Amino acid sequence: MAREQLRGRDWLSFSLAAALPGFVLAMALAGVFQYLGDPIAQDKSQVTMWIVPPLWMAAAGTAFWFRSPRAAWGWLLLAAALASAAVFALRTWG
Amino acid sequence: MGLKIRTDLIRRYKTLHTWTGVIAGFGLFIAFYGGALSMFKQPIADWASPTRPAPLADGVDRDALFARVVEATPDFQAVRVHLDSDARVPGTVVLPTGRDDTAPVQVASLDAEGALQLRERTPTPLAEWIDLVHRTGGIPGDPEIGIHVMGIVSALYALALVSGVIVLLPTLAQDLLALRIGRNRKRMWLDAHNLLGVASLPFHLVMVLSAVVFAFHHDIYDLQDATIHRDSPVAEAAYAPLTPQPVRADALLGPGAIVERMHALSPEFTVTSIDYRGGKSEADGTRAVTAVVQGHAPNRFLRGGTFGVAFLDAGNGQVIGDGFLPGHQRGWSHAVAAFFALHFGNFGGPGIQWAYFLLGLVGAAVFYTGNLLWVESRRKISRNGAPPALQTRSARNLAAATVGVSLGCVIGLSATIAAAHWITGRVDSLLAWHQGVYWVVFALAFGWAMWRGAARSAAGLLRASALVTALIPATTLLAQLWPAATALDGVPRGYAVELVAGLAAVVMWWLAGVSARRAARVPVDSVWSAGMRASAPVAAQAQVEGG
Repeated sequence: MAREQLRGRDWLSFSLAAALPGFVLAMALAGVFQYLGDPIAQDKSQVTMWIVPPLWMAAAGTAFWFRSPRAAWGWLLLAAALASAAVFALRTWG
Repeated sequence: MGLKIRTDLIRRYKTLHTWTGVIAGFGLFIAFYGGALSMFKQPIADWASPTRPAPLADGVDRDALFARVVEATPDFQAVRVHLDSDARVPGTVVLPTGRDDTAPVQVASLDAEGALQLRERTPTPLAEWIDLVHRTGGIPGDPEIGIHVMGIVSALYALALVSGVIVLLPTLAQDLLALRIGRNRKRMWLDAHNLLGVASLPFHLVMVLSAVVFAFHHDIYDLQDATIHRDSPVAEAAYAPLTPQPVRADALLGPGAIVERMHALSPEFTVTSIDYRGGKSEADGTRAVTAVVQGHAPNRFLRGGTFGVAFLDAGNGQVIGDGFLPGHQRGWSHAVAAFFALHFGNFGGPGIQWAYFLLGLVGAAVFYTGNLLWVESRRKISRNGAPPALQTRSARNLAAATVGVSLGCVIGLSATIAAAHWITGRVDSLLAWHQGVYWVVFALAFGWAMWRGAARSAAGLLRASALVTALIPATTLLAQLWPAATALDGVPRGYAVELVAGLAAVVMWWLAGVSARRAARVPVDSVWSAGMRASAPVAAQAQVEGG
């Protein structure tokens, strides 16, 4: 396979995908955690805050795995949307 | 044997690892070195707190004194009662003037006629300042700025860890346990870097992820309340603990009764301090007062740096929160306490404290070797006796900055500790002096490294580290002959601070020798060679001199 040449703006775009949709995905997944099971269990909301950085860093680390920055943005946005929908569903009907 | 990963992905993650690691490396050295010292925050705080003048309220009945203070100031914001007889604190019953641990406190005492006196004392800020260097990287200004910068540094470091593991995976089996010492310096440094990195990976993951939390927790909570928790009872539940029953000030339970109550709740729990926090006054002159009880229990996860905590109704002694009382932590509270405790290393006594101390120093070494790799892999090699190739400006600057930041932090912290001998009780603003000493020494070391270059400053700065660190025990020794040499007077724990500083000085002196020998031995085209000069004319001159 041809040697890949990433340009500066590719790196910027990958990094922004890691920082932005990656963070939204982490927040939404934390929301799924909170509202799955008993949402008002004592101190559960603190765990919900604590798991954001690990989830965010996992998403950010994954962002650079995609074929292109565009793919990273697309998949992470899709995952964030699905997770957000799951939070909404859990809060509405859970 | 290893995982198959496409080579272009490996290359991409290698670039990611390099840049996140190099950028974060500077901040991380300070975070890890300062964090290692902060493992002994309490002993350092005690060491720097002289017993002269004697604690104001010694020998006084705590309960009686507390009752007098509450009587005199019924609308108090907070009254703190210290019960740990080992800790050197400004007084037994104090009124804090701020939430900050370095803020002055009003120390209560009774004079010869039994009248209440309040006198202002400022706690010794040395240990708090070392901890602040650990958390802010020593960045001047509002600590929140430094804390957020270090949060970004930690996030970059998390990416560096993930990408570093991905890069190493395909060749893990053959590379990990090989330490190829030999002519190929780059190989040797890479092997050392990989071995140290993988061996301490769990520690680093725990540290870096909790550090991101510590930096951004307020921001994340606020964002969560505005998004996933909007209009949910979860947001309120987190901030609205049970409130105590309002009582009259003279009906508050004294420290003795609170300790008794805590002993009944948890016999293994040793109370170290009680904060009485007053709420709003009611129309009938009563108010709700919470007793925030701090203390520790052996071999339990502690929610605070060195303490667990319970909340009692100070009027009737009812428990209003025991989620973070060691041994009583259940469910999610226990998980949260574990996250904190794993960062603070407070769950296994001195053994774990020392292990964390050493892991912190090893962590600093990982960043040092990481930056060495970056520099050496960008070497332009001189061939066949040709004049030494000049290294790229970025490689030179990175090498010099690595030395300047790392050793600037080391010398600065040693200097600020040694300064406690001379400034404690003799200057008005101790904290400002401790900070000033650190910043000036750091700036001098950094400037020296950038001016002289890595190789020609490293050995000298390491010798300076050794000498400045040696001032800590040397001043104590000198004070045996000439007591005015120090404002401190030793601690019940003996000479632990002096012993560790003396040992560190010896190690630093040895490293200086290693550094000097390397500078004399390595090829002249390496940034680690003392023969290298910063600019072309100087480089030419160096050759004339035979450098």
